[in-house]
Amino acid sequence: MRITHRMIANTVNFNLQSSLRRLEVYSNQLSTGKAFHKPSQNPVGVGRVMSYSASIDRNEQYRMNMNQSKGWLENSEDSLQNGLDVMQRIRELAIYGANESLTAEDRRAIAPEVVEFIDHLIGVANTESNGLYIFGGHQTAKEPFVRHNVYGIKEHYLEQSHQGYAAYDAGELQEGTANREIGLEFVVDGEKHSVTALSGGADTDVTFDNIKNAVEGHAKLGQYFSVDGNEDNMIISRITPGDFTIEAVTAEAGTVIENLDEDTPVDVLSADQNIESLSGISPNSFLAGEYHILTEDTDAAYAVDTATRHYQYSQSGDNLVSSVEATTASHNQSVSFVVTGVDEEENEITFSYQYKEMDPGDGTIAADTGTFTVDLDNTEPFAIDIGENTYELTFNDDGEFTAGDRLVINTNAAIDNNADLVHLYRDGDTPSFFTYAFEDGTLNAGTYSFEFFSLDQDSGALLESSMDLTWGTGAFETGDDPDTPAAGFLIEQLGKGGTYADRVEKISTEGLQNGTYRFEETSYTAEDDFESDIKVGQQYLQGSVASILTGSAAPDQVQLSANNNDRNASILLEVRSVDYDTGLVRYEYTSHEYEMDGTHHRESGTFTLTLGGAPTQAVNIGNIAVDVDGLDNLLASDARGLEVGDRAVVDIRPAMNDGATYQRANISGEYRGGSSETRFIFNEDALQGSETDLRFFSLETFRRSPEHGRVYDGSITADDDTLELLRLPQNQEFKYDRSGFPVYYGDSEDRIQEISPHQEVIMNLHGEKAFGEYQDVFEAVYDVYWALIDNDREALGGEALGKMDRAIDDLLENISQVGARSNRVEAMESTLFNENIHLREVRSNIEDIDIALVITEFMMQENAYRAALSTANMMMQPSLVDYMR
Amino acid sequence: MTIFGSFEIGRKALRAQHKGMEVSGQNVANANTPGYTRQRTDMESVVAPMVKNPSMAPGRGVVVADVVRVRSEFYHKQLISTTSNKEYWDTRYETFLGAEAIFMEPEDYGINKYLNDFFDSWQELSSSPEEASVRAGLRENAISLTRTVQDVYHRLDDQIENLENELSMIVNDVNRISDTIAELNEKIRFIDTMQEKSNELFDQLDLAIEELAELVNINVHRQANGTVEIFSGGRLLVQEDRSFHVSLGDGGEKGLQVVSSRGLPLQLSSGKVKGLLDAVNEDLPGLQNELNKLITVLVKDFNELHRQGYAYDSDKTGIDFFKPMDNKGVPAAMAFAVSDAIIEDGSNIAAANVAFAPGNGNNSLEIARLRDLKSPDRLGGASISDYYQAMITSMGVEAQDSERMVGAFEKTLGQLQEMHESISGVNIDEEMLNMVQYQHSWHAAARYLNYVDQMLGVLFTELGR
Repeated sequence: MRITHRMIANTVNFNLQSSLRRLEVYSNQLSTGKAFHKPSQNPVGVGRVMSYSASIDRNEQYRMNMNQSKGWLENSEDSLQNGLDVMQRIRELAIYGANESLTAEDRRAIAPEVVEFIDHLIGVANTESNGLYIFGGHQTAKEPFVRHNVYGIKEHYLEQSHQGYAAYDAGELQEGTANREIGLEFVVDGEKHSVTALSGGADTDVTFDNIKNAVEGHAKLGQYFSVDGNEDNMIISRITPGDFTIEAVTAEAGTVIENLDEDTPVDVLSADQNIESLSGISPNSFLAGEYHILTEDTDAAYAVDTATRHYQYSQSGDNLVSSVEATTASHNQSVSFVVTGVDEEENEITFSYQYKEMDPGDGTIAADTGTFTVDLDNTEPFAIDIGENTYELTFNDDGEFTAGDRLVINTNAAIDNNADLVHLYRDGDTPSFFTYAFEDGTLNAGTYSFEFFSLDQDSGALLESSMDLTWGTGAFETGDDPDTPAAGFLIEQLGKGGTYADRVEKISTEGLQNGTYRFEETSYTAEDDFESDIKVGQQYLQGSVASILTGSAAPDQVQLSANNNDRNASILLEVRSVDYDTGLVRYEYTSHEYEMDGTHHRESGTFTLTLGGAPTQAVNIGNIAVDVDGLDNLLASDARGLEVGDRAVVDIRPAMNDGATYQRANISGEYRGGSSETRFIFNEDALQGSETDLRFFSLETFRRSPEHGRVYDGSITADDDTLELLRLPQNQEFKYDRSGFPVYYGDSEDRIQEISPHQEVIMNLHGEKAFGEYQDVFEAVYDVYWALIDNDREALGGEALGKMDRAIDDLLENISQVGARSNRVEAMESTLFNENIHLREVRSNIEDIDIALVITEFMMQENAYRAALSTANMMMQPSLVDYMR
Repeated sequence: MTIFGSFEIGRKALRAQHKGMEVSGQNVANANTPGYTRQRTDMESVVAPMVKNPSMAPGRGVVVADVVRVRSEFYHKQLISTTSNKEYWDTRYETFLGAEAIFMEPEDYGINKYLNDFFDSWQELSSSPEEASVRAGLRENAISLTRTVQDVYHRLDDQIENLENELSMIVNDVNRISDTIAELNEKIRFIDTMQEKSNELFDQLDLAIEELAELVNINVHRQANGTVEIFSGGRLLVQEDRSFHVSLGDGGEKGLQVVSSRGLPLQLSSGKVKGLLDAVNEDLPGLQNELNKLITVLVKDFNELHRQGYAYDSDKTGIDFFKPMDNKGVPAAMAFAVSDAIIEDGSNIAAANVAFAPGNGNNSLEIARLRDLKSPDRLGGASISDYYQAMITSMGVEAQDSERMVGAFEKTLGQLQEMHESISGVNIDEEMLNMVQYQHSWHAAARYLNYVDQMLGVLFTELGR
């Protein structure tokens, strides 16, 4: 082949180029350490490197997860270990307390130490890790265990202070007249304030306003103050108009002073001694709510009185009658007149009336209806016999009458000296609106049935209610004993024996508590419209701090009423979200419903209400249609406001309006701190037969566990009206005061973490697992505490100790479980660590260069390059031209 | 033959040797001129006219029959088609190099890295749903991911636009070269009519054809008079002194294409133009489509799961994590963005699968598991990461293939050029030898004339005395 000089030049050039290109590749590899840095250099290699890098990164993330899991688990383990130590100390105290040689005082002296340990234990249960509460399940943002006491003092309640009002113990204070000078001295933030002239002495008015004014501006909710120079500190609890609650506590929050000594000025303010309990009687309509019955012994003759107790309604706004007088009244009576026709030509009107009356001698109830016609031209008082009473009515001849105009007259029979009076009044209302008078000595031991009815002021609808009241065996006595109130009934308070009190406890359904319950069964015949409007709204605020639904008429409260309901129900309501911009409040409910034949349903769901909207809003709670009233007031200035988590329990009874016979099952409980009663009404058939199984339930506001309430099983025999004692399923009796008992606000959720693609670990121990589904650990400790206080040596050595041992066993099991998880995580961690080393090795094999090899290659290539250069130099030099001269 | 005829032999010899010297000089002078083809002087002896005794007639001297270009048409044709192929693969290689630079894999700034970070953030959130900083970190990682994807997509768009601009310039080049060839045809035809020829014009013609071959694949038909007809992709580009301009046209679904003056598309198979067309019509949009497909699935999967979860410690649910795709013109990758609700408030990230559970990260865990989710009805059964990695791998394979093809054609081209040079190149040594030969022949011819002159002198001086 012919060779030209250009070919040589081209070849040299080409060879130099390719040499240089290879040199560049090697130098790039040497300077980065990587065999390639573009996908095209090794497409499959790049794909694998990317995939390995992803795995390595993810494993790193898993290792971070594991570290966190380990942190939680170790933290849980340490905390539980800590709790275990405390439990063992308490156990030792219990064993020591069971020592026969100890006296009651010795045992009581141990109790404060137990209290200290309880505090410590609750601190353990509220352990935080990095700002999160590790025992709260998924509810890590708030303290899972919150101590409540029965008086509603709770830390976060105190923070959201409404206004600084003061209050203290000894029941409910009514406005009235004091017979002693009342002063307040209180300490705010360490500084003493005093108000000496709350009332200027005997016969000075004590009103809520002047108490409020005295304290306002000085004290805030939750602060301590002392009264009238006494050194005992008081906690300010709350005041709402009409319901003035004063709680006396020692400086140690939550401990109720049970026996104030006689010199304690708190007595000064107790209702029975200083403030007239009742004044005036006003015609109020029935409203849904809790009612108090107050029984009273009068030492004066009780004359017939109707004047202040009649209520009339006319569409024209005029009065129907200008005066009402009962000329003879031997019976307690409530009468309603309704104008049924107006004859303008004859100037006559027709009335229909219905009444109920009660014989004050024996309590017999009678009812009837009738009509009559009135000639309005006759200006003489119109006399009419209604039942056993005779009235004189003076009709207003100037008035315009329209069909539908109404008149209600409530009358007490004329009674001799020393009559007994029964008042019914609604919580928060000025007492009272209806009174029954009995002849002296007729209110003997036994169960009395009181029936009340009146007209609704707005709708004119007939409202009726009834109430049973059981007097104890002690019978009514007037007390010569100076320690007993001047007026009062002997009322059997269940489980406490007979004692004097100024009135019967509220009738309310406060939810079933642990304890011993009595069961009572009564047979009923429903009369017309009996219970046609269900009174609901018995509130239960235990453990909660803001009322969400109550039966009282205070401005920040609402009431529920069920329409045409045919079920018994117990409903737990909880506020789940509050939006004050839109006024929307979302409630969640859980309810147990029983049909009249005893069929049980479990319902849950949500509904939304609008605050400040329509005053009445209809919602469905399970299968029960409910009207919620008073919502327009909820945004009023005095409203305390709703908070997420507020809860209430509402118990509902069915309407019984068909005249049929029903049976009623009452369950009443006894436990420290009060009694409760829940009633169920069933079809007559439902309770027939030799033995019927019934479940009694009431929902608890305490817990959020899926089953919310507690259900108690029992059985009754329908034809046997003796009382039976129901025992709790667990056969447990809880004697302690729930005050201060921690309530679990967390949930029972596991916190799951992925620690490898196919492995999960639960990194937490939620509160119900760690401390028992019913806070068994705390219950055990409280049992020891109360056994010490009660000087119950037997329990200390037996039942309480057994509970402690079970709780300690459970704790030990939890500790070992957490430890095992922690170990598993550790094992996984080392596996993962090894895997990552392996992955890095593999990745390195793919993407990293063998430096020795590349350097060798580089050197060889460099030599080749040099050779090419010198060859070119030698080749290009000579040519024939040089040799031709 | 008369004695004066003998002078004629000498004169012809002088002229022929001089011509030979001139051609060698031209060769040496153009030894480094691109496209120059070595020329060779073809001499032949002049035959004596018919006489009685032919053996007595030595012929009438020498004459230059032709100055020819020494070249091989076969190699030239090979050269042209190889040039087209080499340029085609070169362009493709550059396209993929550009795409690689855009995707920046496997470096630390590529989508893969952000995708990994993003998934890791969900893992982290599942174990620390309460921590606002983890939520913020997740949100930032999500924003980085969306921005990176948008950036990659945007830069692919830019590259497509740049290549389209280049394409239209190159199409102009094609037309310019066609014009040049048409002009050269005209000149060659004109000289040919005068029974002449110009080797230099033929060199220029070959050069122009080679230049054109770089841009488009062509077929060259040589005519008897030395002019050429040129076809490309089945369409006529140059015929005699006419050139037919091509232009860029929109081929609808086929994307851009080059069309002839009559509007018919050129069926190109190689050349730079074909490489660019492939890049803007298929390769780069293909990458974009893959990316869109990936993002569409990603957004759909994430939102589906995220909507089932609950925001931090609330009952807010049904929140989209990414802005939902409305499929209205905007490519998925460009519409890829974190939703406003998440941007506004990190606590809207739905880590929990139940309401009001601040410590619940179960939904976050579910979402983190999307990383490995393989389902036959999406992404062809690949997980999101796998799909992306496969996409990068196949892009790398394409680039690598192109690079190999470029290497192969470069080598072939080198060999062909070498063969061409071997035949048509100037070897200076050879030309030196030729020049020495011509010089000697010229000296000898001159000497011959001297002798003939002396012979004639003898006749004139001796005989006339």
